[in-house]
Amino acid sequence: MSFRIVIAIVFIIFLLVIVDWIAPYRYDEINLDERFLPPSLKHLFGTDSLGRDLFTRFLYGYRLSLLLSILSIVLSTAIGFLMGVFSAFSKQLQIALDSIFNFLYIVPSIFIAVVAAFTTGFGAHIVVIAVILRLIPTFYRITKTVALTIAVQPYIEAAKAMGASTLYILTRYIAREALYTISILSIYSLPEALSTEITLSFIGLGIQPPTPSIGNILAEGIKYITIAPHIIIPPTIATFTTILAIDIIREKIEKHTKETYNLQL
Amino acid sequence: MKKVFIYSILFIAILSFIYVLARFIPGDPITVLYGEVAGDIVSRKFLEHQLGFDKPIYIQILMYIGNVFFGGWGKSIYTGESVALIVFRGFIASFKLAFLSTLLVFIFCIAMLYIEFVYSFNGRVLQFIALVLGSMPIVVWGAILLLFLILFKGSVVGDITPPLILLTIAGIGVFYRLFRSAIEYGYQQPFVATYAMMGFSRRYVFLRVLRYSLPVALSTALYRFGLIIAGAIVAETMFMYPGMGFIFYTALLSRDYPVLIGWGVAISITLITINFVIDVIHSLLDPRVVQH
Repeated sequence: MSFRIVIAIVFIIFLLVIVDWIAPYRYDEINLDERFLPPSLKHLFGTDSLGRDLFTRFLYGYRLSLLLSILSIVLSTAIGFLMGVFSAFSKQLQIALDSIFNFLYIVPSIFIAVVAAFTTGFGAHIVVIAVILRLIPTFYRITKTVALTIAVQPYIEAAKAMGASTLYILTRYIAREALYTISILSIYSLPEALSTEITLSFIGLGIQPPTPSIGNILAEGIKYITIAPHIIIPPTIATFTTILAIDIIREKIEKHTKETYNLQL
Repeated sequence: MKKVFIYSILFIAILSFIYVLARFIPGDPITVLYGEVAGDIVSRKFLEHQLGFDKPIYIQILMYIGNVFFGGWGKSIYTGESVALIVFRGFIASFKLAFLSTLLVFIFCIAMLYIEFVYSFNGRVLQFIALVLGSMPIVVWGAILLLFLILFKGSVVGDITPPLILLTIAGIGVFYRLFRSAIEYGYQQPFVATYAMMGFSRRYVFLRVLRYSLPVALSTALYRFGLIIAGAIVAETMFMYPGMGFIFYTALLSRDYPVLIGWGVAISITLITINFVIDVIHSLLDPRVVQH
């Protein structure tokens, strides 16, 4: 099981690295003679409004979108997880963090992202900020709930009675158990991160042209949908496949947990 | 009563947070916050005094909150129209959209679940449909819908139907799963077995289970309602539906700061109200919540 996971991860990294070699053109190479060409052997996915090769743009854009989503998920998992675990042990910290995250639940993350964009300039970091602000409250809440339920288990009490320090209990028992739940949750939240990136790029807040991203290509495809409907097809299929893959993984994990649960019974 | 108190504290905190956030925006704060342009030094001094910019920050925040309460949301830099009016108009449009879409999603999901559980229809087919509906990004559904509309109709600007269809499609995909797991949880309760043994029809049992899982389903639906008012940006801008999302988009494009800030305030107020309503409805439908 874990062997296959390693192979899959290595394969994905390989695919992400290989982009630089297999891309036939530069992603910002403009050729006004070849605008809106339908797919052909020369341009596998056709060309866009400036005659740029869509296959190249798609490869770079998909890589960037995926990497940004994964980066922001990793960051928000790390922050939310640490805060959640620590808040299980200190009442004051819990009250403080609770009020902060209640805030973030209500103030729309896109609004904060807009203000950040006005102050620091537009770019990829706005996407990361928006996704993080949207995901952290969820991660925090769930980690906190899990940590609180673990903290009252009898074996924690036993460990305490045997003289384990709070830090030891936190890292050894609580963080480990909570990490399981939170890692599954972080896989589930990839679609949301991806769609946030698409939305932001669509309204022009996210990654700025000429750098391609899934959202940028989609936005352009929708602008020219009557003349060149082939533009939106590759990013659509890519997003759909990614989300479908996540869903298959989710089903596998659910089946696996059910089986282990039955074994324990 | 305690809840009202907590929510009003949250409300004030959020307004001050937005005020502080808005001060981070580079540029003249009078223009950014209130949309008044003051060129010469005398009228500038007068405005600064009137709007309280020469006072300490907490007084400024208090004055800002007071202004928000009495409708002084500033005016748009470009059209000179009152921001409160613009946002209110958008809110009404978005409210209509969100209400209809949530209602449709609710009806569709209950119908699908009814077919599945009462006539023991194969659930995997419906689940796959929901998966396809939910996992395509809303932009893509919009594109497909746009193509169809262009082929068969003509102009689509300002019509409520296209964004409604879009939001309903995306909503069914997300909501069906949540609703289904709630119903499944309901079917595991002991009272279902009792009803089945007493010989009630499947439809009756389904209705009982529906009533059992109604609080959860309704609060998710309401939450989604709030999200549509706040964040149906793509669906609204694509079809130029004049709701909150479209206001946000146009204000963003033209850097109309007062409208943007008014948008943020209005969204926060809406979400707070909806959270409050969810709390109240949940405790009405499921009185056990209050006791815990």
